[in-house]
Amino acid sequence: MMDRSTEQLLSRYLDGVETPEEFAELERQALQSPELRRELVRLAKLDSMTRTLVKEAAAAKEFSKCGERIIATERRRWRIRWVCGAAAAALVVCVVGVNLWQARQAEKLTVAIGREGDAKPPIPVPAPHVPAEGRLVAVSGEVWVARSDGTGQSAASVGTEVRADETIVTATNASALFAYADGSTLRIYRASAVVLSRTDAGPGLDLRQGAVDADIRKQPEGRRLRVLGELMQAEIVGTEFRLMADPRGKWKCLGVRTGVVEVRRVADGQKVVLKAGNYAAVAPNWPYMLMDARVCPVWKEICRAMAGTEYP
Amino acid sequence: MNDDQKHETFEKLYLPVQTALRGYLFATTRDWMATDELYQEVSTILWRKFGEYDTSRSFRAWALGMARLQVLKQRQGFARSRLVFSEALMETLANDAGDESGDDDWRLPHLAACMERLPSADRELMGMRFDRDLSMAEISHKIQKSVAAAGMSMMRIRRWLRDCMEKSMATEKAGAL
Repeated sequence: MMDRSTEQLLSRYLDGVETPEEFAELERQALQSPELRRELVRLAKLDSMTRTLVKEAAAAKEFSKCGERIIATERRRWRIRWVCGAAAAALVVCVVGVNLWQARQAEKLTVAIGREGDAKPPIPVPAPHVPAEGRLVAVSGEVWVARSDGTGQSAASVGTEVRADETIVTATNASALFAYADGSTLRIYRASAVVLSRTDAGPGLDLRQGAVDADIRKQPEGRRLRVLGELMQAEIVGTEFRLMADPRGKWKCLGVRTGVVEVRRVADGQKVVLKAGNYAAVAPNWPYMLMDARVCPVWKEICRAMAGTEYP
Repeated sequence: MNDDQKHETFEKLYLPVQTALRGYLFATTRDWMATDELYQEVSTILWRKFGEYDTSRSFRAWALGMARLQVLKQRQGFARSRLVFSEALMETLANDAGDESGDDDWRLPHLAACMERLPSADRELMGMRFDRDLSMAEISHKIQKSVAAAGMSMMRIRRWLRDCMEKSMATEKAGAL
């Protein structure tokens, strides 16, 4: 056990309130004393564990509030739909239904991370025995997988398998690393939602909000990883890229780190080829699609700023 | 080793070292944002390089070695905002943290039980420090005490939590015998 003054010194260091003299003294002592070093690592570990629990408790509280909001909104929506259904002709009801469905689909994922405006989207029913696309290999903070088997959202941890048509959701204090079966990875940042999909042509991903760093291994002959979405789409053979998406669906940004990616703007079919260092941002009524971040670093910053939160 | 086996082996080895990794990262950076980012970086690298891992060696030591390299790489970034240990001390700390014989075997359920027993004022302090990530100056302003007094409270809580956790683990061990 440390003496009181050393314990105080370590505590002050971890709290970031030590003076430069105290820091120098701590470093000098730590280089000489294995016991002090062990104590420092032990206390930092205790802080890290405490933080995990405190964050979990806060997130659970927030998640429970979210749940209440979801239920309230669902009830409200059902009431609205019932009134509309009774009052309008069948054709009008159909139109309203489609609109509601679209609105709910766009809003649902923000609910999971505690934003206003919420509703559960229809979750596709999977084919039986759908193999996992991959697993979460690292999780920090609250991460959920929205299951497509009707069980709704469930908390995810290291080892959780994720299938096509399932969504990985990270809370505002969380991040996750997802590994596809072929070793490709998605590093999913905080406040993000990524929908995985699959067709005969290969896997797909749709970032609904937040940011993802993808490192995609070379796909087999004839296969592509498809980046989906209503604003931009791309087909990836094998490359590293970053995707960012506005939670309201108003813009999407793709930056290439290695390799080449052809991005297509869905609205008008315009295509651009992005090389390493290029970023493309797509937003309705916005003519620009391509900028080289090495020539104009501001472009990268614009994408980061548009994300509304700080991603590295 | 097929992909499933690789996943399982990785998880089995990786899960027990997560706390030590985060502890080391925080001990060297003292910045939760940097700790979280580095933790993700290191996890990615460990997964990527898992094929190169020599199973006859300690996974924990290997993981901490990778963590040290990442901290050194990004040292300049966080060194601007605060005092940062020398490379020599970071290396020694990584070696210490990678040494399995020095592991305390602390478990989150024990700590959770102890935290529930903290007085509400102390829990609130923990919330400010670890959930809202407030600095000690901000905390001292909120609780209307000096920074030194707030720091003493933190030290007291840390000591209490640690004692409580070790006691409950000792009781559990004694019960298991």
